[in-house]
Amino acid sequence: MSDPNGRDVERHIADRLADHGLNGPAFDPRLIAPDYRDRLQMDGSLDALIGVAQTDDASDADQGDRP
Amino acid sequence: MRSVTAIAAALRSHDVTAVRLAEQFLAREGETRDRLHSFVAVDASQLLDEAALSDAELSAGHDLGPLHGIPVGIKDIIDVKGYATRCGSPLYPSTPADCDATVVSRLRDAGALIAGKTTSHELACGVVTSPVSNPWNLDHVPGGSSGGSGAAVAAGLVPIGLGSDTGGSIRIPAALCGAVGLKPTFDLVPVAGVQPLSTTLDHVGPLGVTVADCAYAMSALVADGSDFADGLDHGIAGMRFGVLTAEPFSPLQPDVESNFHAGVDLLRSLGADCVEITIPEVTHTLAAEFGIIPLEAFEYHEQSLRQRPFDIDPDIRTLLTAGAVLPGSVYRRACAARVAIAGAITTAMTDHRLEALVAPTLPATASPKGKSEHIYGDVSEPITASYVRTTAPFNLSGQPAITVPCGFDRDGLPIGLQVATRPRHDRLALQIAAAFEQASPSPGRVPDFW
Repeated sequence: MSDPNGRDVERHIADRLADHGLNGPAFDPRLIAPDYRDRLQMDGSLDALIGVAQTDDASDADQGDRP
Repeated sequence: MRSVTAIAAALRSHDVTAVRLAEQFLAREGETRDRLHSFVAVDASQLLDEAALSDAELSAGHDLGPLHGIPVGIKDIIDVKGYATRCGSPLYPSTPADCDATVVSRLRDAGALIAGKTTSHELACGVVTSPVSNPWNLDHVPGGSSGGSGAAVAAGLVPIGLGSDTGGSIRIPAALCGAVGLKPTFDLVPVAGVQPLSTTLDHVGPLGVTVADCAYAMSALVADGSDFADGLDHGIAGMRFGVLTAEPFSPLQPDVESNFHAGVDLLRSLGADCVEITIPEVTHTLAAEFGIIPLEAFEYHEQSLRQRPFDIDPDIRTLLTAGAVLPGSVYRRACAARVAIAGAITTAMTDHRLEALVAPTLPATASPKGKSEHIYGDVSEPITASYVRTTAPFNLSGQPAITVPCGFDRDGLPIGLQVATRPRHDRLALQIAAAFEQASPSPGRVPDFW
């Protein structure tokens, strides 16, 4: 996600939706992107508590520690 | 006669029977159904049959304790044999559960009667619980997600309601409806048979008319022989409390703020040493809470999201979808933040030699239905963030937190005071809340919507 405010975010969302088989009009990346950005911004605020965020593609793809 | 203590005494003095209590509940629930919507399902014949058995047992000298013959409401995310578990959602089938959740079977073992299923916010994921009304003002929300239990208890339909609490869902409706609500220590009360929202944050616990009601319920729910009502009258003289007023416990609505400070003064008058403290790490509560819930909720609801997305409320669908698309690092970092927050709370309690933390339960009273934001001076805040920011710290830490009524705002809407003790010190939280309740200037005030 080299451009978190641009189409790269929507492309990333589309890829992730496809990974999970989430297709159709309920899952429009353009409509999901604003909430996604808000959540990443909130995540970024944690830098002050736990250190700098990892937002590179490698960490995006890493789902190993999901519950 | 609203509390367990009063009802239990009346049952044993033969002033009332369990059957009569059940009949009264059925009449009142029917009378208020179209205004309160606090129950989604009531099986009258099952309740009356069980009440008759309960009376027979008591007459035979088989007294199961304070909850014997007491009707209890169960949030509709908790399995009750013979009832469908609907979670406020069309996703769930109408097939009845074939066995009770552990908490329900424990309540039955303690003699309680299941009055019915109380309304839950959809998937236990929200703070409004439409279409339930607040008994103090029917045009206002009861809070959520255990809004049905909060409204039912406040209205006097049942003295105890079971709820669940992932970010405040017991304490929010309890505070907004003028009831007592306890989020127990994480993992103290079993969640088997309870639909999850976020498995590392979910808690099950009681809402009650009084602190003692919650204590009786806790004795049944924990079921290890502990008597959570023991010591409720021991007072708080000599205890030391940390008072939390900094972010996220501010800003507050002015009436909430003045009532909260009056509440702290009341605690001081009872002999407690109340010192203001700050725990800066807690300002990150919402980032941690909202970094954990989407991914854990998505894990559970993935199939429903894929197959029936339009049967999920758009806001909840957005949250679940976030769980699918967010980087895994968001979850890991939120978990790390949670550990840091919990550690900071523990350190603060140790360094300041505190028995408990005291905070406003919520920054605002019950919102009018349809309102999506709270206004604090020049700042507006989404209603969910506003209600959750003062309760969620103790979901992250897992320590017990109880809300007890602490007065009313200028419109007659209830305000709550929150007490959080160390993990496994649930009985102490009840004891502190009981002392406050006993000294409160307006104990026993009830809504007059009847």
